[in-house]
Amino acid sequence: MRRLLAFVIAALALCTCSREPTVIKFGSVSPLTGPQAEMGQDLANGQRLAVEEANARGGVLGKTLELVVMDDMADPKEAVSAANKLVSDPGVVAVVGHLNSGATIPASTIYNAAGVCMITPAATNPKVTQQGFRSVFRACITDAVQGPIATDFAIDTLGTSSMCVLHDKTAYGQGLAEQFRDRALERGVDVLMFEGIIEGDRDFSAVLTRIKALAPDLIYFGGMYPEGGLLVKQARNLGVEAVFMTGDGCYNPEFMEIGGPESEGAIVSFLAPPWEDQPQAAEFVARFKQRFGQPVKTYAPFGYDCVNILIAAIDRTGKADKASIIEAMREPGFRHDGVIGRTEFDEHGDTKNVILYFYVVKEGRLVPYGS
Amino acid sequence: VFLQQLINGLTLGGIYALIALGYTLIFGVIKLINFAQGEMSMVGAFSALAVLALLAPAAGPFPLLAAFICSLALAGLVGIAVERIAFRPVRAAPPLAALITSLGVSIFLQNVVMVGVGSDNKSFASVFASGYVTLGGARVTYLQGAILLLAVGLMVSLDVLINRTRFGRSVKATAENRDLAMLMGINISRATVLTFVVAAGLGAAAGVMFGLYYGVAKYDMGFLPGIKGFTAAILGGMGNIRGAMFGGVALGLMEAMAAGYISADYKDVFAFGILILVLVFRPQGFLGEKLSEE
Repeated sequence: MRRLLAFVIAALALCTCSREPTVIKFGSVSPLTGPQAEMGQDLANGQRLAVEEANARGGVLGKTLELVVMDDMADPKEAVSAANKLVSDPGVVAVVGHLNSGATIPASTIYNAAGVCMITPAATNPKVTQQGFRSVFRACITDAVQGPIATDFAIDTLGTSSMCVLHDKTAYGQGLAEQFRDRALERGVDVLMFEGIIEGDRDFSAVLTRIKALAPDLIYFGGMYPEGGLLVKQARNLGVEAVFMTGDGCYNPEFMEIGGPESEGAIVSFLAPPWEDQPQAAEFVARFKQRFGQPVKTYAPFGYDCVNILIAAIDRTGKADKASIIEAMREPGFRHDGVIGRTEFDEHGDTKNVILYFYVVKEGRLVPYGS
Repeated sequence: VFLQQLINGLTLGGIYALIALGYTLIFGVIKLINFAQGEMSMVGAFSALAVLALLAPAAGPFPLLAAFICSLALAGLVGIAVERIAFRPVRAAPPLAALITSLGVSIFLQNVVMVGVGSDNKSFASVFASGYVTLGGARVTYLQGAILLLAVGLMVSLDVLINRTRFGRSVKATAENRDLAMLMGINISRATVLTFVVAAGLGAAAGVMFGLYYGVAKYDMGFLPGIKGFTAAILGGMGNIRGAMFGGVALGLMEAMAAGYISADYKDVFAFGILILVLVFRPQGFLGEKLSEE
């Protein structure tokens, strides 16, 4: 009896082995719960839409595309455990993720060791692609690019000649703030203060009081919207009149929600154009809204394009195995035209598509600067 | 600038003091630390948020007052539940058991709120009149002024409650000696429950102030202020009511001065560094530790 059972199991195993898999799996990791859930959900929805559309077109290489969605809670520990789960599934050939640099950097080590292609839609810390990992790609610009462009904007367009720079001590926030500061020093602008605040803290009045006494033209903050919103609110309540400027981490309706009327006039740089005004994105914005019943918030178009970039890589070689996807994307001629524009990768796996837009808070909404 | 830092620190200190009072009262009466105390402020902030949302169209001070009273009442009920569920069943057990059950309650409350209302920041609408008065170059917003007044008011009433009323005497007697108090005909169970209610109410008041002041509420918002309140209570002497008031204000001022004159990077390093120094050199706190001897 036992022998018979063993035989049946062996036969079944052989069966599944010999049959060609009928699905292609992509991993998808972003913070679906936790403080950054809103952005993570937006990102994941963009990916879901791309997968659904690909399947509606008849799949990839005639196979059904499946998105294995995981949650990293923006936490490096969770990110690593999600990455380990994904690479242990032999069916997962590539991963779109993660959102935060702090989560992406440790997770990328695991994907690279397993030879699984990882493309991050939103992690901007330069380090992500500077580890010499062949399987790591990025669809957004880095802080090394964002910081200096933002500095130039502050100096040339806003006429800033002195500034205080704050950051939240995370890989993202501090990295961005350092790039911003370094460029400012290079251009001979006074940096009166460079200091970290504590992520999750609510009271910044002490450091802001000090800034008030320094009376800079501009306060730059490298960090996310929960702290950014509170900073701008408390600064205004203390009577600080400096321009408040921050990066993509504050490009979120919550920034104005938390900052309240005090956030008026704050400048936010972001990696993408106003989606509604872009002819190539208009259709996507409409489809997204119809499918999920809510508007595109921030990173959905990046999530959408990342999935389509992976599909383009598979279509290019006609092979859906892990190594072929990486090789296809590493080829110099590889390019993809999508909602975020044309994506091409340099030798580090970084996009050559340099886009940075400036927004200003007007009547509680982020509108393009100068419009 | 110094005056502004002073006002920043006092506002923060007032909030810490209210949380510290909760720790100290409970410690005084049952000699145990209730780590769910920080969550009382979270519960308070969220119930205030709910009431404010319900009464959104109404103008004037009424919604704010209603929100405040409701959050105190709700936190009071939660306080009773905490005493019943986490402390009474393990009263005979070693103190570690109650410490762990109270930590459990803290995690439970956080997760109930996280699952119930979500894990993102919820914003308070600006219900409080914005505006400020200038005092010698420093700005005091109306809200800061209200927080300071309310905190002082609550502390004074607590002092009166403990030192001048029958309830206060029963609490002090229970703190002094449980068995003797019982023999003298004091209902120590009732005194203990009422202490939990008062402690929860103070925590909730701190939570509402915290929420209004910073404009946001989040499921884990009670954790850090809870730890700070605990620090403040130790600073003043665990079990000492005036000590908790002193400790809270001192901690708020220290944080503001450290962040204001040294570096914001080291704000918490200072707060907790002081805690370690106090524990090493004056473990009974600055003002000693007896609730009963006041």
